[in-house]
Amino acid sequence: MPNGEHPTSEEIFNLVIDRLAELKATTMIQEINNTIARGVSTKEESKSSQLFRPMNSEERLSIALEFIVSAFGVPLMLDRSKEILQCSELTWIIDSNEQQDVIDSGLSKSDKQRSIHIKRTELDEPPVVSDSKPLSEENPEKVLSKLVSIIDDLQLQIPEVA
Amino acid sequence: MASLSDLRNAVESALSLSTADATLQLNSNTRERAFEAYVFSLLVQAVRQAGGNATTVGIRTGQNPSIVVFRGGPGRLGSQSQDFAYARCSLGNKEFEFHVDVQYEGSSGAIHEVDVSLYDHRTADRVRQNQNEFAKSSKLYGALECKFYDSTLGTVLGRTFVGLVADCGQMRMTAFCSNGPSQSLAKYLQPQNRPDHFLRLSPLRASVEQRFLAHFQHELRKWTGVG
Repeated sequence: MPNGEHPTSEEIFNLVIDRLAELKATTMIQEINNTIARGVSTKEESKSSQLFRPMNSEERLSIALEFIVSAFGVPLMLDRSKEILQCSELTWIIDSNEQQDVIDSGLSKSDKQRSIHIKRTELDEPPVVSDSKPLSEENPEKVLSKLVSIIDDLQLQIPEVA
Repeated sequence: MASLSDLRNAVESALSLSTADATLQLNSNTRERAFEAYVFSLLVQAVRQAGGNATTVGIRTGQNPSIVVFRGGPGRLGSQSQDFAYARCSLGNKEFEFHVDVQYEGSSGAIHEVDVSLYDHRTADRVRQNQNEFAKSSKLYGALECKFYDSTLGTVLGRTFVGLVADCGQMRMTAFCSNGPSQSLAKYLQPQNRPDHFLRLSPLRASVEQRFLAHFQHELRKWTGVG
């Protein structure tokens, strides 16, 4: 970070992308880049046209943070659901009576079952921990709530994606 | 007032959480489903907070299954191919159910998938007698569209949902829910005759969650005649 005490939006955006790359979150980086590439809608959509402009550095940062905060919300949503529904586990299974393949078209029934199981495992298994980075010891909900509160406090504008 | 330096430190802390690796690599199907389950659960909580009863039921195993099974894609309300769960509720003189990812037959005859729905209990019981039947939208009292944040969040999704609502008769409760923000969507859904909208709905934003719960408590109480 060239300017440690007073980082710019651009520097924080670059930091976010670098850290996501270290965490091998390549799909998320791609989603962020694709969203940024679409630009910002500059007026209401009409039937005939839609004007747009490239995102500035603050808007790029807002987009990246929105993706991160949204993703970190998923385990909390599942925890909240389990608490309210008073169950030990939530799982998703394709309705085998249905003819349509909604999630993985072309897969056999057993593949579908397996793919759902993998998704569940992604949520429930303890993640692999990198040795190279110090891990935060804090409660995830607290850490994330603090991040959300700072984002709100800074009033970073979420652009209207074109 | 927070500074960009505070933001950088908070971002570093979040991305250093031990759960970051796994969480940031969840695919879009998993995220969408988690959000639907979360909205479904909040409705269950709203019924209880309104003074009613809400119990999770597995269609094969009965009340309070320890593993709650949701549909991995849209399906029929009465399907017993898996132990699909729904919430059986009662409040005032009404008995009703919440479902996830059920397909309904609209008044035009078109089939619509509703992410989270509120359906009449007696009619649902009849539908369960015939697994291949699509539930009719005439007893569909509520529909919630759930959209996990991505770059497609905008008025197009709102318009699609308004079209679905128009084909499903007179519903008492309709809402578009997302964990993300969209000014254009909020504006599109602002008129009174449009579905309600709850943007930035997440466990990380307690105020929005409380607003959602209060809104549905009020609507449920009004609908069921509970003072």
